[in-house]
Amino acid sequence: MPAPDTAKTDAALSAIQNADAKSYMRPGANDLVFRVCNSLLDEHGYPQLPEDFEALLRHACGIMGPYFTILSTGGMEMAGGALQPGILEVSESFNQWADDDAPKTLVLGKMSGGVVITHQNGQYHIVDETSRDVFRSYDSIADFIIDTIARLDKARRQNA
Amino acid sequence: MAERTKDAFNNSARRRLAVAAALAVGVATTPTEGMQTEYQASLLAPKAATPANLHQRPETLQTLAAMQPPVILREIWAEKGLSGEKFDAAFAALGDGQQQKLAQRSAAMFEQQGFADVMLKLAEGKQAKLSTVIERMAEMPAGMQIITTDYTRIAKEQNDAVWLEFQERAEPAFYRHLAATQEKELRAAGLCDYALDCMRRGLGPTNKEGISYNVDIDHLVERGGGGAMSTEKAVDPVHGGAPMYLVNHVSNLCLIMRDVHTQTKNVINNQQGLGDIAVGETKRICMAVPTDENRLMMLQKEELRAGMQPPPETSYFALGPSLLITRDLERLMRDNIAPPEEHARVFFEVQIEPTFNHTLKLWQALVASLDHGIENGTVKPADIKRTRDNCDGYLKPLEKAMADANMPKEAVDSLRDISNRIYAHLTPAGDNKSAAPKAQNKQEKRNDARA
Repeated sequence: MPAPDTAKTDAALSAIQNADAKSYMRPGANDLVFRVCNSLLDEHGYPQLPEDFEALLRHACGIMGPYFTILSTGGMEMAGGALQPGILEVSESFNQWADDDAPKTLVLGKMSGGVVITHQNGQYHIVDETSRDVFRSYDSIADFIIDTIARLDKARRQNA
Repeated sequence: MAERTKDAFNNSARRRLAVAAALAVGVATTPTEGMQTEYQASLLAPKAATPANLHQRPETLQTLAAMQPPVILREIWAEKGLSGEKFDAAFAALGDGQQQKLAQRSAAMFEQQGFADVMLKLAEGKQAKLSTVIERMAEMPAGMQIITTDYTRIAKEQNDAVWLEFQERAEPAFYRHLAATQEKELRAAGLCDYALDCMRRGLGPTNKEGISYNVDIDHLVERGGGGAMSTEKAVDPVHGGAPMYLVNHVSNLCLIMRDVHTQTKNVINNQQGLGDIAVGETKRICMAVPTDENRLMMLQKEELRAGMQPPPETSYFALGPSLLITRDLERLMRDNIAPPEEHARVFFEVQIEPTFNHTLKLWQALVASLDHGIENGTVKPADIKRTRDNCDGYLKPLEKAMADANMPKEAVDSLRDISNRIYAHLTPAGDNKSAAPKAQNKQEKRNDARA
């Protein structure tokens, strides 16, 4: 995995801020947060957070938007007080039906319609949670964010 | 009276009669042929409130079901050929309240075409899968039902095309439709003005900070397994406009609590190995879906507006910092560099205390949440198991590491106090006797209010 591209992360954050619809970004995480999260992931048999994902989380440790949710290292409070579980809990839920000896898949985000954002073999994958079909893949989380916002903003304008 | 009822059901002849009556009444009220076709066809018809008495169980059945002690559950299912070690183990894992609920729901489930076959097939696989499905069926919230349907897997590219259409056209249109037709119900469920404004613009509901509500849109017939519904297009009678895949029509979408979507519907689906079905292949499955009157929207106000106290599953948030401190202290002990007793307090204050205080707050919040949940009957057996596992795996090891490394007594005592309070709620007897029956009472009250 190449070192995170700062300019790309900035472009992704800018895309979120300039999107047609508002997103909520939590405050950024620090080293201690990543130490805790990676310890927990390790304890449960997961790989560590990808470097470019950590770079994004340093700016916003969890993003809730109309097109996708970027999960946080912990829980995120939702409107009304319910909680969106964090990376480990969502990943555990995703992996609970997998074969016992299969490597565990890290789930880092969600989209509407029962689709999740996973990270495996150095790439981010958009996966149908039920059928496990992989719809598309990206080299970085920033690529995913920029592409998704551009696609759905365009669709919104066409359908308005 | 209670003793007399118990005696009556200890009489096997009367028990058999009760089982037969429960099943026979159910079969007599609903046709069993063509249920799958009927369900899919019913989704394509315009949604309308179902007459209140259409699917109502006859009063006699309701009375019988309410009287049935847990032992009846095993016999109801055995009567339909579902018996053996695996079913016994699955039923044994349920609390009394869950068994009672499942017994009450069983007649309606067995009316579904092929339901017994689906369960038998499931029983050929791992015990855990069968047990999980049975548990979720028992836990299913009011307003949902179990149906059987055919899952016909579509190709990945087609699934992707249906999903893109959903995101780009069907989802915004569905939100606009709900905002236009269900404003009163959405407000009653706790959505704010800003959330309704979002929906009018075709966006998912958020508060004015942009924070999402705990809701999802569910495809009733699954997007990836809808067969012809996922490949054929028609003009949606509700929206009009360009044709859309049938599976993306308003009639197949439901605004549902995210937890219900992921923890009930998706869990039941996934235990049946939908991901393993080959493209073009069809498998009969059972599915949890909203009842007809809830097909457009199934929101539980109390869950949407969940109190500010974190629910028991959020013990997860205390696990990370607990593990971190435990590992640090264990490393000190292992490398023989733990501070001597006279320096331990200073070491604690400088090195450990900030993280420790944060950890302590999280565990204290968990205890408060557990107290609150048990008082209100909202703690589920699964929450109890998870909390116990988390205590065993994280809180007790932290307590031990703190004591072994000579950390201040008051800090160790504060952890012990929390673990004692948690374990007091988690005694085996408490699993079913305190939490589940109260939860059931709450559900009964909700049902009474609806009636």
